[in-house]
Amino acid sequence: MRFFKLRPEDTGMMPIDRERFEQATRKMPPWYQPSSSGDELSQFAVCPACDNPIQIIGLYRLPRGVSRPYGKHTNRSVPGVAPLDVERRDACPYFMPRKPDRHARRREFDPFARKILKTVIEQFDRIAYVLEKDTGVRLSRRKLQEMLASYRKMQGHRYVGANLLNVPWIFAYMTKAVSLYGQKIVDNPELVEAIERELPHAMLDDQGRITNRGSGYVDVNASFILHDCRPGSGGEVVEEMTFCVVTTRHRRPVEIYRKSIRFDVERFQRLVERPDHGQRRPELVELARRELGRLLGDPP
Amino acid sequence: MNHDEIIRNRARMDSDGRHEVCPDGTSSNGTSRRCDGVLLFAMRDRYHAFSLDLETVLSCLAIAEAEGEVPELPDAWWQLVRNRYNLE
Repeated sequence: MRFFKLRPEDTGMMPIDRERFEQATRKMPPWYQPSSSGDELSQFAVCPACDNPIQIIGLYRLPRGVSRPYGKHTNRSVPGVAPLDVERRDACPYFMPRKPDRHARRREFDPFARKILKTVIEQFDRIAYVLEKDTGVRLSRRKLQEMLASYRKMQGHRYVGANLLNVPWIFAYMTKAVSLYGQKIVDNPELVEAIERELPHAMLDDQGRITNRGSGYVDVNASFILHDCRPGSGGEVVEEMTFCVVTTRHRRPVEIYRKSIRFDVERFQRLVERPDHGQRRPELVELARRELGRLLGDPP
Repeated sequence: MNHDEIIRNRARMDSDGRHEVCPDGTSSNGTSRRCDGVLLFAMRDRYHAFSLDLETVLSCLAIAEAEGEVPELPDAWWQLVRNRYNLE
């Protein structure tokens, strides 16, 4: 893990380097503690993805073969920093990058799932923005509402592959296919080309919205599939999914376009931490609260 | 409005009706498009002009089908329509 935060209840994250860590902790306990053997001083913090304790390795002395300091999930609770939740740690891509078990679900009122859900609601305008940048498609408010309802029905916040950093992408991943008819392609020339090539009845209107030519029916849908995590080169974690655009031919789904979307978790965090409230879209946050608030026990 | 009045006040399609539904919506005789591309039908009853969206028309059609008032439509047709218009 290349990032840390000080307390489980904190949002956001900081890169692990000596200056940032010293500034943030002022070298105070509980982040600086004697190691279990008592001979050395160890540094601890919290994993921003899974809220478990991490030990900072290499802050003052890099072990052989390691090029920069990193956070390593601990095998025990660290008093004053964070308790260990084994189940959550084992599902964290920064503990062990691997394909999440698609069928496993967190418990219904699991506090961590609830925290993810709160993030989906409170950051929903940023989620919509990230997805628009990654797909090049601007979804209407109504379409976003449809996705929220689909996420609610799939109980997406309870998916074990969901954590506090991959929120926008797992939101999209935990929805069913949605129709793209009438949606605006704002920045994706390859998708425009695929639509023009594969869907003879489709065209884009002067606003860039997918519409039909004459009286032909156009079946065009977006779907987010194949969520995957794996170790990348240089100790990074690669987390991605596939955005595909699908039509139906002879009652079978036929893919006409696909793009791999790599989760840029730092970009999302930068958005979350940005103070420019003028660019926020409170109406989308309100929409998310209306659709998902009931899962938190809020009145609809 | 009482029951008899509601039944008598039947809405019909208004072929001259135009609705500017949003700044980038489009409109032609009798139909318009909502800004998300969904078709809207111009309607008129005894008292006012209003609009009906295609989702509502399809939901009515599903009821008519379930009641045996129209021949059954193929499942594959309903699946495509349900997905596009997000019908329950």
